Amino acid sequence: MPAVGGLDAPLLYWDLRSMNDRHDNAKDAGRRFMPGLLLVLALVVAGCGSRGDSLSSTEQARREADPQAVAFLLNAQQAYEAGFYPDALMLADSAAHHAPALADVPFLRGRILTAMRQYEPARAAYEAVLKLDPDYPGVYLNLGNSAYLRGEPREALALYRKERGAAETAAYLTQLGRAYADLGEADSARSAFERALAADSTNPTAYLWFGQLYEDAGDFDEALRYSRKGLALSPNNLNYTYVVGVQLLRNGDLAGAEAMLRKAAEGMPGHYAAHYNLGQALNGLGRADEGARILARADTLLGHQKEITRWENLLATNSHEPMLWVNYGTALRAAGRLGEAVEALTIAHALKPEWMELQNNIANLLLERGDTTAALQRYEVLLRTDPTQPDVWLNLGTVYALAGNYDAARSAWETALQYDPEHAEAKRYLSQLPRSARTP
Amino acid sequence: MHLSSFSSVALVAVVMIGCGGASPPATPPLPPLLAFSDVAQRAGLGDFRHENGGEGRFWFPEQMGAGGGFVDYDGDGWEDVVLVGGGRLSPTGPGAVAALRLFRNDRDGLFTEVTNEVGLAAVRAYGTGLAAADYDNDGDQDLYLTALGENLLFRNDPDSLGSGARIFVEVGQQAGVAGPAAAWGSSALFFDADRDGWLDLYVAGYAAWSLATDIDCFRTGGEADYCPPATYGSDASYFYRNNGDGTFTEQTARAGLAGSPGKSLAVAEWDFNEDGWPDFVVVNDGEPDLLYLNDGDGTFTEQGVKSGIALGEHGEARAGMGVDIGVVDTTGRPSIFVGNFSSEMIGVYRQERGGWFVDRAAASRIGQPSLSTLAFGVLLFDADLDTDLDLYVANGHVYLDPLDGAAYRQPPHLFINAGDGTFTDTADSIGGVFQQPMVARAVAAADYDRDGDVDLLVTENDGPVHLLRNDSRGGGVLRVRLEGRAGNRDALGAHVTALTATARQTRHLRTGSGYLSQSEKVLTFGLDAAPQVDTLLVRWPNGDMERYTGLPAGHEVHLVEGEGLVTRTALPVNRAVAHVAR
Repeated sequence: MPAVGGLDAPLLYWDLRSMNDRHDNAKDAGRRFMPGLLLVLALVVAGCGSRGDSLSSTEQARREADPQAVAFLLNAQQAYEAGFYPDALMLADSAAHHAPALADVPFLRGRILTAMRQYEPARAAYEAVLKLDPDYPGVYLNLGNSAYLRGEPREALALYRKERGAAETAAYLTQLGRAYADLGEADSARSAFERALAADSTNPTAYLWFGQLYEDAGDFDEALRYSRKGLALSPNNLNYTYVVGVQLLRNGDLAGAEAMLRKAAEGMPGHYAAHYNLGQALNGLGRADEGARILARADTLLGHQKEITRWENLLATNSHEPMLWVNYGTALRAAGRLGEAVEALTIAHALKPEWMELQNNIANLLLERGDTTAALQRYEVLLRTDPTQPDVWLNLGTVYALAGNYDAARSAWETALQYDPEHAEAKRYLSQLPRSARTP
Repeated sequence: MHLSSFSSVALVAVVMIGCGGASPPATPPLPPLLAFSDVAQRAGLGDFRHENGGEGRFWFPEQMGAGGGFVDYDGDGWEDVVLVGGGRLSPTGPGAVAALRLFRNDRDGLFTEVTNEVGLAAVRAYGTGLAAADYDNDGDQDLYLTALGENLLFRNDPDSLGSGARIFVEVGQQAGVAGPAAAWGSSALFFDADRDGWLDLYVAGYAAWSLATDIDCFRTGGEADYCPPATYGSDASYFYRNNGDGTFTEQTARAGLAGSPGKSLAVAEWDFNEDGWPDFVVVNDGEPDLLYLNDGDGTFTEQGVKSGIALGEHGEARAGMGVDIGVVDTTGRPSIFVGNFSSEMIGVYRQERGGWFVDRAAASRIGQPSLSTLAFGVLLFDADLDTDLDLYVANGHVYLDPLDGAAYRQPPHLFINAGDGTFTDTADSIGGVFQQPMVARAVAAADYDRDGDVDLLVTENDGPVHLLRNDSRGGGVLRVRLEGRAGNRDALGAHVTALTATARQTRHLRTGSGYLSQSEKVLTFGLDAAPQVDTLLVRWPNGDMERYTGLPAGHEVHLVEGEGLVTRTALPVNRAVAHVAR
């Protein structure tokens, strides 16, 4: 089954992330309620609930775990969430040192390494989990997801079928359905999606993929019914908007398609497929000139896409090379796909933590996409490591200025000048500050 | 042999009425609605095996071939079989592989190999695709073999003894269509691009590969495997204009056919804008597919992306392999069928008003069943002679252990048309040879036994050939053999419409289409229960129209441009009738 439009590689990643996000939300709750911290953390990391009345080996290990191990594990989880993968791995190692029998630790390592797209080391980590606890929930789901991301649905399916602990969650069942659909087993896919929606009738991803299954079968009425339900549950999701637009286009509703695809293209200016299909809709409507303009834009984006694909192909067999990730991130940035570019540079940095310039680039990208909080966090980490970097002070000042905190901005830029008195941009930025902020 | 459904019903009715309560006399059972038998072995094609030149080094070209098809090389009205033999890729490879092997139709269901007799036995080349046409307008079929290396053109001549036998003389370089020595031709198309009565030639170029530039590729686990096409650059495609004197002039750039995306594997012709000038589609592997519209002044304009046929649903370039074009529903508008890689749907692009195409892969019900197979040859033909075109798909993977879960050896698809452009894959329910996994590549069509229905020839990579005799019950049929006079002798580019009381069918006479293959040039119109074609409209390549009426079912008619109906032969043809017809 082809990917749901816009739910291709990047969205697939997003999709898996969204599953993780559900777990992470639960864990956030756990952090707020300290008495249940250890148990909740365990549930979150595993992504699942308890397996009955009798204690599993992992549950027993949790009870007996050294509190220091728990603290390391919590910090590792936090670093992982913030994208500081090297720190997360180090903290996980420390946790393992204090609690070698705790399967939660290699499980977290598996997740971190998966986020770094280091699938073989991740697999080794998950296998270590199974040695400690053969029934640990979520291991086979995650192993299956890795296989799915590598384009091996049959292998993914075989792994999914071994999953027990997370086997009735909507996220699991949706993935199961996708693997079945990819292998042409439409009836099994349909059953999996139906069970996913029975487990969680508010899961938009399940609706979208169910719609895709109907589309592949040529039943556009049902496809649109399900896709629209998914979109209604997540109305601001531009990828879902795109999917509905494409289905309308294939179903001959050119005007409806144009409206949806225009919204998707305008909201995602780097989205090649949205532009391509919008151009097709316009051509179908007889608006050839406008269609040609949009298709020309799509053509430009396609050039970016080819460059991105080139790096993806190289990374498929060389994912341990940080420079390839940097090049990949650069290509993504050129295409305007800033979120994915951040991910690529984050992986590059994780593979080569001493490459501090990458931290600065990641922070700049975060700033570019408007995530000032995360950018600020990165700049602060950089300056803790080496406070004599004028460019980082300059960027930190920019974050403050964007937030309207002109005093802090002035202070940062003045610090930049302290380390580089001739720093032209720092001087220029200072001169552009509102008068009150320039003259304390 | 098939019976029309009309006759079958009458036969059954008579039996029921005449027999009363007595035991019914033994009657031969009706043939199944759809049935094909692989008769390659018993027909004399059993000792053929394509040689892909593999030496365990996973060389890129190994998995792509090979072609073959039906050509009536001796002009007796019975389609002969030509097969591309393959060859060696390195000096240490197999050396005694004939580039082409020719099997003469003995008119009794059997074939006799005549490769040596026609002068082809000593020809060596790593051949890929086959095209056949009367490029010199002398009344016989010449052969064009695309290859890794120079392409070969075999002119069909009478032998020097005047015995009536045929001999093929290789004239590729002399005629100017050999192409570069370091090239890789795939599918070829003979067509009269400028409508001057002489067939021009388009040769699709695949990838820039040689032993010297070969790259070792590995799977994620470190095992050696074939490289993906993206590993290599594109090879150029070429357009040769026929000078009318047995030679051609290469005019690719001048015709506006240079510089487009490449890795081309298949090409098919159609007059999409119905301006009388032949247009064509080029299918590319991993690059956007191309639609060349003929400007009528010796040049073409590429409209693939603009028209909507170039890319998949999400604007992605797919791994296109084979192509065919036909009218498959009641709209009268053509649909382009493109065979793609596994995990990609077969493309089904129907032309809409304004020249725009919509992808009906899913709506046609072809898309989903095709996701798990890698489609090479695609071929439209009326399998059951019920008035609409069905689709045969030759499947087989290029990776021995595909990551996406597909199999290396795959059974074919036979998509039967409901008449409205929606299809049902019946291969599994037919069973037999349709459940047989193959590493199939080319598929070609012809009524080789002249019983009225369309049989298939399917090649396998590094394997045997299959001759699928059509044993379906089928409906009535009219077969139309055209011969040009003012235009090219083969009448390539002729557009023929058959009208019955209940159906309107359109065919376009052409070479190319499919994948590396050559089908017969006789047009088959399935008539179901209609007793005749009420009106047959022929638009000859030069635009002249001719109209024939009241052509009865169960016949093959030979129409000559400007001369009308020359012969009408009842089907099935026996040897004596065929002799008289010639």
